[in-house]
Amino acid sequence: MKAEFEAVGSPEPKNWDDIYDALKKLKAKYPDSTPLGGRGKELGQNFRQFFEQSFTSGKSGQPAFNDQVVAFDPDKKEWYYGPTAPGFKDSIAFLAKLYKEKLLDNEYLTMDMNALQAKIKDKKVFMIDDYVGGLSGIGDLNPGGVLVPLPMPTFGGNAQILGYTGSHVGDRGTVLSGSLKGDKLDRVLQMLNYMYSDEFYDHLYWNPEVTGEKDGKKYYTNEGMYSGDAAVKDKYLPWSIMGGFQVDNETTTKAGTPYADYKLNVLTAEANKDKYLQQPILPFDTEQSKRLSEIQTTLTDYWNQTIDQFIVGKKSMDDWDGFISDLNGKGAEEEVAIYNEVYKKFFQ
Amino acid sequence: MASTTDVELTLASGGRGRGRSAAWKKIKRSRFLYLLLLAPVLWYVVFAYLPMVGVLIAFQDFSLYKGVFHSDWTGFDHFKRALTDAGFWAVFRNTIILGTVTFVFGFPAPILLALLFNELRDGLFKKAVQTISYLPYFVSVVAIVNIAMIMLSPSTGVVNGFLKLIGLHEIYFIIEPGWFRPLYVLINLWVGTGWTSIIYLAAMSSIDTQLYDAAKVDGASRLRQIRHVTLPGIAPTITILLLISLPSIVATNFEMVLLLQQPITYSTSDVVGTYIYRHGILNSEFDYTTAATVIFSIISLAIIFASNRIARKFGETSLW
Repeated sequence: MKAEFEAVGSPEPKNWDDIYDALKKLKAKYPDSTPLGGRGKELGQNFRQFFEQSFTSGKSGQPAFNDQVVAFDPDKKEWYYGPTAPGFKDSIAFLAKLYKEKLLDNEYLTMDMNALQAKIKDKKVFMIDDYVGGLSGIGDLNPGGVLVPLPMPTFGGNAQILGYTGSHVGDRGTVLSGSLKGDKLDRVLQMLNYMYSDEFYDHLYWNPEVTGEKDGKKYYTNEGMYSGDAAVKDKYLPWSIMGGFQVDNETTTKAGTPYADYKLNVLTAEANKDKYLQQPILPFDTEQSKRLSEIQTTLTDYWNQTIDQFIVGKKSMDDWDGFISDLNGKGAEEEVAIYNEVYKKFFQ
Repeated sequence: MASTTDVELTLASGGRGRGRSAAWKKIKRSRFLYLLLLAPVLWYVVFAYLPMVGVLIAFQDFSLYKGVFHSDWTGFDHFKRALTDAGFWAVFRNTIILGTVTFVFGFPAPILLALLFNELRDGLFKKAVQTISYLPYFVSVVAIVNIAMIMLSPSTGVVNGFLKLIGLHEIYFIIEPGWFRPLYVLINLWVGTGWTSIIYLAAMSSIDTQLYDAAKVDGASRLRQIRHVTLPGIAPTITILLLISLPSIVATNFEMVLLLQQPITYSTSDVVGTYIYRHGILNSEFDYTTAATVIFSIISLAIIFASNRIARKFGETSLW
């Protein structure tokens, strides 16, 4: 809430120290409040997820929310386990501190949008953690207040690499039936080659209403794409599905085919290459994927259960080393080893 | 000359023929009843027996692309993994504890409620209270859990409001592992007690009123009437419902657990159903979770057999 932050002399906190000071001042002004809130019931354990994104990454290049917590260090050129980064422990300790001092909503884990809106109206919450789209819903019901989006400060980590969703070329492939032989196989491969060609792509997408041409180069007009997925789909591509790529916060919708899916990942990566570093996409084999999947489910259960215990004070931060050791025992070290093994094999 | 055996065979064969014909006539006569039976039989075949073929994937490195009949066989690998996985045994333990606690409190509650209702005079109050008691049964689990969460909110819930009023600290019930089981049992009682009590009330209504009159003449108090007339009168109903409820000690209400649990309460709230949901559905480990389900089903069956044997030993009836 902009006005409240201005009133306590912190119109635009830049880092977590600023935010902490502003929350303290708001708490002093409104003792019954817990100034920082969130809707954990709908978004999961959202506060820590934002921090997790700074230290972790998914195997398909997406920031982790609850699962893959392995991250790539571009300087050392190796993968490491996210929670072992000192900054990550600091971020959880910081949330625990906010919770203990009642600066973080004591029921943030089970809040939904309605309950959060009620708390904002009652001046119990002044700052929330949500995605940009979520703000409009809250704003509509609070005509008197103005919510100002602030970039989420980090505690270090490789946020630059990992703070962006979908900026990588996906590691998808095409499955061919083992019974395809001789002429049939050749024809299928021919078709696949065609589907992955610029000729096919142009043939599919080239339409003056959704694409334009400038200096001999084709580009995609946002207006055409935004005019409605259904319109584009029904009019030009009745058989296809839709995809989208993102530059900053603007999403451009495109019709999808296996190639289009691949292509829009390339476009996304291209569009963001100066803003976000890329992390390698690792081609795990079936055995490795299966083993990673087994490890990750077990780790995720333990991870989700324990991190919240640290934040709400059911576990002391002094037990952090034990937590890391437990994670290793449940397969974290093995997970990192598989990542590094595949990275070394294909990238070094 | 035909031997004795031949004669016997001929007679027997003729007898079977007549038997078959009689049976067919019987079926023909009751054809509409058999037609009615067809629907549930089909339901069981399609939804309960045919899917059992899927148990095969517990022994496979199951691939969605290859299907049940073409995936590679792995023997007992998934069973070994489940049996040595501490996580599986933890959720197994939670399931049994939750089921047993719910059974222990949930079984006598409707009997008590029905006894209380039975003592009320017929009238508007009795009708209103009865209706209110079984109303939650018709509300969806999602709504029930949401109402519970609102009531238990540490900041705005009535329960914590009361705690604060009497000078106690508020409790964030939903994230307390120690509170999960009591909450689950209480919500189950809230939802099911009123509804199940109807069965006992029906049983009570069939008790001969002359027995109560005779007890009154003998100077029996209300409590004695309950003890010596009402309870013996509904004893057969109690026994049957007890036997029917026995399998519930290995079952939990998946939707309710899923809605009520938070990752922070997994130590008490994670049950076989939610574990399989996360591993199997969310993480696509269909083969492993099928193996885990088979293990759980076998152990559950053993528990039900044991319970039935105990019931047969100490009671007069049993499930089979």
